[in-house]
Amino acid sequence: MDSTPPELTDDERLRYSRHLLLPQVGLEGQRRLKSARVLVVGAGGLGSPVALYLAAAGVGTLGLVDFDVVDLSNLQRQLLHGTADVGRSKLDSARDRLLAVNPHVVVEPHAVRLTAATALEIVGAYDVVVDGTDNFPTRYLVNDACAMLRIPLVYGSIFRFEGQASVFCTAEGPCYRCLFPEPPPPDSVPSCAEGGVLGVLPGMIGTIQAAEALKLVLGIGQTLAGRLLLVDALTMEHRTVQLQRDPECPACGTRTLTTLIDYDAFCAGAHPAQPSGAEEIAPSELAALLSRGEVELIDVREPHEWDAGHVSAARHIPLAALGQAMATLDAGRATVVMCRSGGRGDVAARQLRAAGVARVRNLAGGLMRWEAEGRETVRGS
Amino acid sequence: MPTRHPPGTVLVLVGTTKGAFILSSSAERGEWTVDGPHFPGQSVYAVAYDERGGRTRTLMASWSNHWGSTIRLSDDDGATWTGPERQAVRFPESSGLALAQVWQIAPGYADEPGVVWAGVEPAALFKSSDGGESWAAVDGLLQHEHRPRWMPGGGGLCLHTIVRDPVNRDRMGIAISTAGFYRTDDGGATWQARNQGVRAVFLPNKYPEFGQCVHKVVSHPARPERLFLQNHWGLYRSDNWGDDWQDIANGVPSDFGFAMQMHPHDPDTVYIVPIQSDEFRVVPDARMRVYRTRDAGASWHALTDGLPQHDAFECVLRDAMAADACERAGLYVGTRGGKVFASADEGDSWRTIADALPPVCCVKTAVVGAR
Amino acid sequence: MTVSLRLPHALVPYARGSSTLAVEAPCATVGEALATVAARWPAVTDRILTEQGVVRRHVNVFVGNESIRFLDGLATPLSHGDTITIVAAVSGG
Repeated sequence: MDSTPPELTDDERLRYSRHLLLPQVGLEGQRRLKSARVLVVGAGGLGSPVALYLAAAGVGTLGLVDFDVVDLSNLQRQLLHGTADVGRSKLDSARDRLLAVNPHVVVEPHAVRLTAATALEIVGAYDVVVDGTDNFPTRYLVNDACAMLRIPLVYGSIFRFEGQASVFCTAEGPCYRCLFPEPPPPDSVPSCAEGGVLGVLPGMIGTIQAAEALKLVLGIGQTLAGRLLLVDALTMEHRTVQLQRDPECPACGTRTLTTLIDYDAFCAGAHPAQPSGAEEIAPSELAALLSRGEVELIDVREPHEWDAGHVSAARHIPLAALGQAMATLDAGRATVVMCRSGGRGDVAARQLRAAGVARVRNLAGGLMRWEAEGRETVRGS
Repeated sequence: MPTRHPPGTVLVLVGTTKGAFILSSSAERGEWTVDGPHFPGQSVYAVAYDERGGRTRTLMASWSNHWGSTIRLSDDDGATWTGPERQAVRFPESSGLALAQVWQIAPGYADEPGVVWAGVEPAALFKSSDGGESWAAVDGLLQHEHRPRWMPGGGGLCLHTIVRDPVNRDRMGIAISTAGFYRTDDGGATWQARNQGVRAVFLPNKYPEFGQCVHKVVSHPARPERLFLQNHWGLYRSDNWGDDWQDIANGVPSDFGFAMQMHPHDPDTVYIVPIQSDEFRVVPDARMRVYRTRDAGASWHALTDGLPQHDAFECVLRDAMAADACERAGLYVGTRGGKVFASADEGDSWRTIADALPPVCCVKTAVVGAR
Repeated sequence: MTVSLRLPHALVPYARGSSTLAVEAPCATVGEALATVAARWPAVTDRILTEQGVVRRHVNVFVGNESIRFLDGLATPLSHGDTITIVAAVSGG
């Protein structure tokens, strides 16, 4: 945010007068809202109340990500759009509606599907991100981008009569991966389009998200960081459970997740490849195990990488040859696999585990982290 | 569907990533009715239709990413399904394995109406003796000495294909990705790898004893010793129940592919759908072509009449092709693009009978009252 | 001792329409409570645990407000009146 928040015009002072009366907001808070940049991912069920309330509240710049077109079946819950908007792009429809609510707001449309290539640039231009997506691949992408960029993320999700909300990726708090470490395979969980949703439910969850976003911008109150709110519209029970940052979380704990992954790029054979999953071991622990001779270390990089430098105790089996070498491994022995930065090691570790090597771990951060910690390597074949 | 299917009805059971559909038609196979989805939102990778034992039973394996996989049964053409009181297919505790997915459901011989086989992931064969209600793992394969060295393929370590011998009841073949083809000659007690001549392009040793990524194996009851095999690169025939294999990729645009289907009446006729490559898993040249051999693989010819011949970026998975038992055999092909193509004349001409289903995982067909 | 098990809507059909199950048995841990549930509602426990007795990968189990992942897993002890909550990922928006 700018160091000198903008002044309010007389018209704005009148418009926001009920905010100005609140000591927790006041003139200073309203100016912070005016200078704030909030990204709303998805202009659908959740994104509608979020964007409407944030615009009305005077958030100065609202980014909107959506590439969909308004469908008649959206109108049961997506209040940004009206009957006359059916067939229009959701971004056009949303911008018109938001500017009608508050012409002082700048709407920045992003007519794209977030991908690993675009997410960092778009997300990185905002102070707070609100997740109103309707699918897991985008949820993980937004979470990972926010974790990497350390931008607070207001999470909301709905299905049928149930909703969830939280705040992720704050300085101390957990992220979505601390709760659900691995993305489910694409399309494996029913969406609102298939499972149905009570039309008012996104309104309930979305307004909670809008409140959390405002609190984050204003720096007031206690946000849902570290808590997961569970809402059951049928019983009208609201419960919170505690969440903790998982120290092993690749996104916000070990921070071994350093590049974004497009989770819906998958193998036509059947399931998608699981992007994460193998247990990791820190370089310090590996060094201790090696010094006691208690572990078999396998380096799965290519020969030229091996020649350029490797851990002296390691055995070299390139990833492609792992299958053939399986017979030479002791399935009962504690085993660690390593590669350059962790990606191939993860694949290898999961292959070994599937093949029956029960105690296998992947060296966190690979050789790069090993070397960054000043540990020894040797050259040559 | 409230009404039961009359005898002679042709059924096409389609499992997709979002549920299952039952397509039905009269014997002319002109007009099709689509019933479904059954298990909306769940993946269905295996279906079967079983008329033995005086009942008509539909079996489907429904899979939810959160809640696991189970086999569901319906004795009223899908109007009602058994609830999954327990996950039916369960690995024994001593194995340390947990069911990931059911890939194949195969009813047994006509005179043993309770027997049903299931191929699952992680790779194992299960047998039911009560029509699919309870299941037990086949121990000889579960304890196989090769198991620690089997590697999962793109679809996981799945046992997806079950081949029976119509005469020799102690003999059975199974295929696992990526472990290869295995055969038992003693009713399942012991299993031998039978992959001689089948290539594993992705391994340093191209012709290992096992480790091949076999995608499908088919045979015809009239010539049980002869098997056809679609490999992860490679098209093969064996004339000795898998003892060795010969390359039969003669005149196909690609020998990569998943699906393979035997003609129901002619042991020399086999159908495949070649796929461009393992990197680009669509039909070559974006032309939807089913290939047919009528001489047991000596030559293959494209079937294109009625199939899209431009901009068809389709893929057909290993179980997504089926042939009915009508006098003039019907063929059915389901695509990842959610289309089902059907031929009522052995593949000579085709029509689209479902245009916008979810991605198709498997297709099976049956003629009501045919057995 | 009585503890209650709260189910997400996806599992309610497996419990014959109940979203909260009362578990009345001597069950000292979460694992024992789920085993008790299995005796009466086997489909519920089967959806939460694999046949190896491991919590399925995309399912979260809370006792009170705390995730058992950060407690003692299925060995997490229970007290009279505790609530076990099953939370699954949902993706709608």
